[in-house]
Amino acid sequence: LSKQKDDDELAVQGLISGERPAFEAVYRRHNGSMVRVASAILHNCASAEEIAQETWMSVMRNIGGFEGRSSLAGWIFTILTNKAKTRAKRDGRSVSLDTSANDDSIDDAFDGRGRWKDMPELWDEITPDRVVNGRQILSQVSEAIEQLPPAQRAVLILRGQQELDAAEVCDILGLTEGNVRVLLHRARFSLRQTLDRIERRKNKSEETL
Amino acid sequence: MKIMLSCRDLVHQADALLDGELSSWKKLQVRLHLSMCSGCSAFMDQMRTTRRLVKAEAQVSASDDAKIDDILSAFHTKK
Repeated sequence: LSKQKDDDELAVQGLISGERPAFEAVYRRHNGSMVRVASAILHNCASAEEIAQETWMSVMRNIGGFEGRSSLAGWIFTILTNKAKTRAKRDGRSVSLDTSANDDSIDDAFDGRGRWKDMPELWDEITPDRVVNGRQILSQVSEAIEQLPPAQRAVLILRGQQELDAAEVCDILGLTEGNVRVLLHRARFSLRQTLDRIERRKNKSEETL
Repeated sequence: MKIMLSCRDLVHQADALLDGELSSWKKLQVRLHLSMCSGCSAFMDQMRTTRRLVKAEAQVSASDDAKIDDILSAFHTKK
């Protein structure tokens, strides 16, 4: 954790200096995820890009006042989601993420006694640089992430990619800790299901060769 | 208190286990189940891979020069 503090301190100094390479490093680390989280709230990619841009303007205007009470990423994403919610309100949209559990995909994988319907088997095709059935695994992961319900997607990006801690994510998205835990779990389980289908399809296509 | 977890119970504890958030009693139950269930052991391995892939997918945005110019020039004119 203190390493993260040190990294943050360096990044903050870089931002305050306003020098391009320092800014660019922070921008590249967060901007893609910022656009995705904003579009989970706004359901609109063009507005999400604008919100991310406005957030950077605001980050640069206010960086001198950053006190390190949260992580730098946590601070940036707080600004982002506040702006996204304001925009959603202005557009007459609901600002709260839908956390209802409308899929039973986890329990569907088990029989009445809680045993696997399809016993998992070790994957041997699935690694980040692998091409399966003509496509990079990572591009299939991207597609699966885009298809997650917005609340799951936002939590997965903040926890699983930006590595914010659970309490920060609760504040940023306005969710309880229980919500965040369940959403993250569902998101990961559903990606695992997608990858498992890819693996099994691959094995089947090899058998028929 | 039951000792044996079902596979479904185990799956619901998977994230907490990987994040090191389980109490020692829960951890013991999970370990016991994993030692006897090759399916769930494979599942845990798949979850580790899934997490790695999600992390690897994090979109490092292509540096958008025009946007970065706008942000920085707004910053410098204000100064």
